[in-house]
Parts: sequence; structure tokens; C-alpha cells
Amino acid sequence: MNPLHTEALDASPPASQDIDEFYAAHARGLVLQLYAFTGDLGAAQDLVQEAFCRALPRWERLRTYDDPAAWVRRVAWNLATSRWRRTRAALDFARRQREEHVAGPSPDRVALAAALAKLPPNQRKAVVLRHLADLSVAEIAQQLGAAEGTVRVWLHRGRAALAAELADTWEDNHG
Amino acid sequence: MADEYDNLLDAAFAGFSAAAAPHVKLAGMDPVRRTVRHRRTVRVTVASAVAVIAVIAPVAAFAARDRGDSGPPLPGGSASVQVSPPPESPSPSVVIQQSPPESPRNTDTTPPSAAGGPPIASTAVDCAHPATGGLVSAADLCNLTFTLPAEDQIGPCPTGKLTFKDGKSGNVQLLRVLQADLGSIGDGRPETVGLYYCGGSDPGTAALVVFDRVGADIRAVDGFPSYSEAPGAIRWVEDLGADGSGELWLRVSDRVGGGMHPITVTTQWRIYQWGGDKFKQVGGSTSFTSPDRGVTVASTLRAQPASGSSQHGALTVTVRNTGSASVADVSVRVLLSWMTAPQGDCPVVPTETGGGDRMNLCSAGTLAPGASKTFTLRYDWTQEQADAYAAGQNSTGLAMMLFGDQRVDEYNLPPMSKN
Repeated sequence: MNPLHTEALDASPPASQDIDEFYAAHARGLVLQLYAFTGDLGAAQDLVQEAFCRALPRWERLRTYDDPAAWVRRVAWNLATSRWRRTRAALDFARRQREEHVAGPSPDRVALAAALAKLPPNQRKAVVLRHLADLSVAEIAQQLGAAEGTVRVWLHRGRAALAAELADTWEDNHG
Repeated sequence: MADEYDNLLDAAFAGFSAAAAPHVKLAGMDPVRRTVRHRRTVRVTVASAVAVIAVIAPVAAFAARDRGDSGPPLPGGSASVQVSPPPESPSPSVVIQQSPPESPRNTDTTPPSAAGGPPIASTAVDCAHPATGGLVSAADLCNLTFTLPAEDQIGPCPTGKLTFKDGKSGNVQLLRVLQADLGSIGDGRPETVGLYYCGGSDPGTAALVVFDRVGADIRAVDGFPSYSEAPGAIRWVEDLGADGSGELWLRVSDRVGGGMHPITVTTQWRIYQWGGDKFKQVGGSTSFTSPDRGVTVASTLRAQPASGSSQHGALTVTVRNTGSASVADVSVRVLLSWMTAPQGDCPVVPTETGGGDRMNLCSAGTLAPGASKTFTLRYDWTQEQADAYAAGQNSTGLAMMLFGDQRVDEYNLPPMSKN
């Protein structure tokens, strides 16, 4: 697994952890996951901020959950993927009209982003959650509301397609 | 092979994280706290306003109908909520019923040319764009102080004196600009229209303000469409244009946002014209509801709390041919929140977005006159799933029924019972 993932390793905070510490521990990793999924760093940052806006009023309850990070992750991904994500649609629209862009690494330098974008959304979600959030098949199934068998199929197809795409890119660049 | 994938993909994701991490700018929790405080304040204000609208709206709708003019029809379908004991269990359940929508009048007066949009298009705002021919320019609007009367309010935004700098004033943002002759307003020269977005990180809305030059001053002539969260109201203006004859064209939709999911958004061009004191609609559709096809759709949502922290429920959808001729290929599509894992009569079908929400297709085939068919979809979800959905969507979950291209019913799933 990716050694740089930062969101899932310490999923059960002590009861005394405040939301600032929780944010510091999880926000960056969550942004990276959503950036990999959406291909838009600015949107990923907005989505994570929004997820914490939803978490703050509920924090006293959330902190009693076994895995509050899973809750915030689910909300952020839900905002990113739901058909009814009105907030993001509005933000996207406003950003597009203003033609503002958040600086990010060049797509040319991040072949993975381009390769991920070619995957169907469900495969892309499963692969990102597996490799950046370090979730198990069961945890991915729970987050996505899908059967474990379905997630295994998404992972198998997504990983194969991603590996083929990356291998082609590597050959093009180095062959 | 799995190991080969693991090595390759782990290296790729590690490289991705290393390359992207330095570019991640975390705003921190302070902006989160400010946003939450602001929303609490706004909600209190909006709640007061909604109480007033709830009284006024039925009166206005009745008045429009009584005139027999082409004003907006009443929104289709009325909802009632009742608590009743379900037959299969002694525990209470919540039942929400949608009555069949009243057959809307076919008021679609959209001219054939409307589908393609107007010949004079708006442009994305460029605050450096210089003024031409004495017209009000985008650069003028970007750094302008003007007074917007309360009746021309842009969504839930403040009215009165608004001061823009670089195209922004608080949570109001200038998006697009159109210059066109919109009739006999002011000095007779072409007017300038700004499309504004308002809402910050909230869903917000978009609306227009029409400007004209009066001497050396720039005056806000009119702001519209008026903001409403009522069913069937205009919730968003995607674009605007003009045809050169004085008509102003608005591309409006009944959903906030940029049409991310066309299947759930109805978008139309509507045509407005200066009426001497306000712009008034003179063409295009006046409603987002569908014309009467001789088929009604009625539905009931029954949600029953199970023991522990989960809920199960059932959505029934009945389609009925109320016309005098058979109707072929009758089907209703039902979107359900992505965590509900529905099962029942209507199979899940692929959607164009793969977003995770469940699109179920309920096919009735051919319905003879007077015939009907009822479908049932059952779902289950947990307290934690419901919490996460509620936090993400500002709702407790959604069920949405689509007949043809039109949304006919929509529910918020009832909240989970507290144990």
C-alpha cells in the first residue's frame, strides 16, 4: 500500500482529541483522495472544507463513533459523487464562469491523474479508496453501498486498466 | 499478477501523493467555524422569510390562475405526511403520499428557434475588458457601487447598496455580461446585463441585474428572476442572450448548479421583454412541469424504523392511464440515494454518470385506458449512513421519480428515529 496515505492509519482518535487535531490528521489525505478522483485540486480542497463544515456542528456526536474519519470521508465523497451535490455544482459553475484555477502539479508530471480519469467512476472510486485511503474491500463496500463482490470486480478491472495505462505511459516516456 | 499490479500501482500512487501534497493548501478550521456561524445566522433569517412566503405564494398562484393568463401553473402534486400503523407491524411508521399531479396546462410557447439559443451571446466576465462606445462595460460592473432595490433581491443576498471590487461583493459574484439593445430604457443606447452568482459556499442562486447609463452614472434598472425555493420556481440562470429585437433570453433551470446531471435538471430558454418598469416574460415555457400525456404517477413512501439503529422502508409507485387511448412503453425512472440499496420490482439500470445513486427502471409496458400498474421498491439503511447522507446533502435522503424527461415526484426520506 501507499506509504504516504495519511487519512486511515489513526482512524480511532482518543476521546479527548479535538476537531482541530482531527482536521490536521485527516484533511490533507482526504484532499489527495478527492483530487485523485476528481482531477481538480481546487474542488477537492473545497469538498474537504465543506465536509468539515458538516462535521463541526456534529462533532460531539461524531467523536463517539468508532471511526469518525470514515464519517467525514463518506460525507466528502458523497459531496463529490452524489447526483444531488448542489453545492459543488454551484461552486463548479461559478469557478468555470470565472475561469479561476487552483495551482496544482502539471498533469504531464502526474501520469496517474490522467490514467485515473479514464476509468469509469465506480472503478476509479474503488481504486483510489484502496490505494490512497488504504481501505479494505469490506470498508470500500460499506462506504460505497455496494456488495463486496461488486467491489472486487471494480478493483480487479480498475487496477488492470490502470496498470495497462501506466505501463503504456511508461513505455512512451522511456521506451 | 496481483503483486505486479501492487508494485506498479503503489509506486504510482506514492508518486502522485508526493507530487500533489505540496500543492494542497489547507485553509484550516477557522474558516470552517466562520462558515458554520454564518450559516446559522442565515438559516434564522431565511426561516423567518419562508414563513411569509408560505402565506403569500398560494394567494399569488390562485390570482394568476383566476386571470386565466399564462402565469406559472401550480406546482404539480401535493404532499401530505401522516403517521399510521402499517398492516405488517404494530410499530408506527411514517407515510408520505404524493397525490397525482394536477394535469398541467400545456403552456409551452417556446418558439422553434428557442432550442438553439439567441444569436447575441453573453461572455464570461473579464474585469480588464475596456469600455466601448460609451456602453456600460464588464470593467465598469467589476468595480461598481449600485443600489439594488429590495424587490430585485439576488437570491438570499443582501440588497441596498452593493460595492463590487474585481467582480465581487461579499458573497455576490459577477459571472457573465451581455450588451444588447433591450428596448426603450434610459438613453436608448444598448443596455448591459450582469449575471450574478450569490451564495458563497452555500448552494445559492444566480440572477440578473440590468444596467443603463444615466448621464455619468450607472443605474440598476431591474433585477430578476425573483428568488424562491418553492417547487417549480426558477432556481438558477445558466446563461443569457438577446436576439437584437429587444428581447432578453434567459437559460433557466429548476436546480442549482451548472447542470452536472442533466437527467435531474430541467433547463429552458425563457424570453423576457422590458415592460416599462420591469422585465416581464413574453415567451418560452412558463413551467418546468411536463404537458399532460394522459398518464398519472402517484407514489407513497413508507418508512419504518427497525429495531436498533437501522430503518427499512418501501416506495410504491403507481402509473395509471387516465386517457382514452392506450399508451405504449410506459415507464418511470426512480432515483434513490446511493446508500439505500433498493430491491424490488424495478431493476437498477446503468446511468450516464455512475455517480453511485441508484437509477431504477419501472416498466409498465402498454397501458390500456384506465389501466394501472404499481411497483414497490424496498430499501434499508443504517443510522450512520443516514447521518452521513444528511450531512452531505442537507437532507435525510432522496427519492426522485422521473416520467419521460420530467421529474414528477420527489421525497426527502424521513429522518431516522432516535433510540
